[in-house]
Amino acid sequence: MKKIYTCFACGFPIAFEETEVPPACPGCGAPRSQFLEEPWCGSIDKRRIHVDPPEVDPNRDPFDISFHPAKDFTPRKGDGRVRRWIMSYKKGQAAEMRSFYEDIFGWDIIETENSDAENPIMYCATGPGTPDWEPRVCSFGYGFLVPEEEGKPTASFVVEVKDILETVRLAEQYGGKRIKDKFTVEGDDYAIIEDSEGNLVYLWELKDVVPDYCINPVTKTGAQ
Amino acid sequence: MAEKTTYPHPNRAPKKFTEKSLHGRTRCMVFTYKDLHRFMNFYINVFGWDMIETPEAASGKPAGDPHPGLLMATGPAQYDYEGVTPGHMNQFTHWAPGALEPIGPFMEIDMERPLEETIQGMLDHGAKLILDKSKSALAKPLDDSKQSWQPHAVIEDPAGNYLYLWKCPSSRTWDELETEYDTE
Repeated sequence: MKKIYTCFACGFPIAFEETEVPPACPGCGAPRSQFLEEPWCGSIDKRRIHVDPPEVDPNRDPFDISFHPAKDFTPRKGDGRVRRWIMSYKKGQAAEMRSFYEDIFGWDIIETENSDAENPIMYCATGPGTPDWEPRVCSFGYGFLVPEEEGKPTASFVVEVKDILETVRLAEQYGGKRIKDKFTVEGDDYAIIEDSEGNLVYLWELKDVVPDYCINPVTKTGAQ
Repeated sequence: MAEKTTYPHPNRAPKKFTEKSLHGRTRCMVFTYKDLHRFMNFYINVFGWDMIETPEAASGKPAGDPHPGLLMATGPAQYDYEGVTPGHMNQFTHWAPGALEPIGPFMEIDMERPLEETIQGMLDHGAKLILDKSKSALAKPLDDSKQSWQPHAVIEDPAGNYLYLWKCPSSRTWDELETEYDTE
């Protein structure tokens, strides 16, 4: 029989047949004994059991990785968000890559304005978007397919920052390296750093841009 | 100031994604670390990320493992660390026992289609299935017999990029914030 199971530790609700219930909460790892159960009523939204998620503790040790609701990101005004991914392709392979991702994954791909026609930078919508090509649903992202520069495929992600110079300074202070100083592509400023482990990370400066959630905070989602 | 128009606009919006499916969405990025404390120290102090140990259901590692996977919020997050506002991706990281592994997107694949069939479609288009754990600790043979929150396959695309693919369990209700799709 299908039931709704709500984790008493974190508030995560899941619906499963009784025979398929996981031994621990997929949201926080709490054991099955922490699940509160009720009959399936056709929708998770119609469930009767609701568990308040734990409160955000602003004084929590950030190095404590035991389950806790995520902190309030509003004061950061978007600084540090991962906004895009980057994957590369070999020169001459643009059509093959476009076909692979459009045919297999259903993406919508456009070439950026001033791209090299032979080896363009391709911007990829991987799910529902706004008219200005931003994802309009939470928890996924858009990204770029770019021609590789030194004969070696490179993938990375792009982090929004408010001040590239300050972020590079912080990165160096905490064990990272400056790889490429501030540069401009199609009107936007970027830099490349290496993290403390050797992963390449792009920085994208959006100095005056404040995301909507800092102006109209999201509520009733458990924790922001 | 509200968020500006940031990216290219060829006088049209993106196409509508009208299928009741998250197939192809790049949900977060996957990358690796060598030294846990050093890694955390960097991302907490440079970018202000918040992180939890990835639950065993999603990492395969028991709680308290010395080399845990981490689920990281880079912006506002729900209690299960799914994002709660559009426009940013949260991150997964895991320990690399050898060299750092290629960074790549954690992508959803079709929930309703057999895993083998979905992957075969990719192989027919020039992708490769990665089985060598020295290339990715997440590599594994295809197994569609059990529902899981762990990645189901690691694929190399025709250019050599790694894709970490996940088939969501049937517990999805489509009421979740992240499951919205275009209705027209």
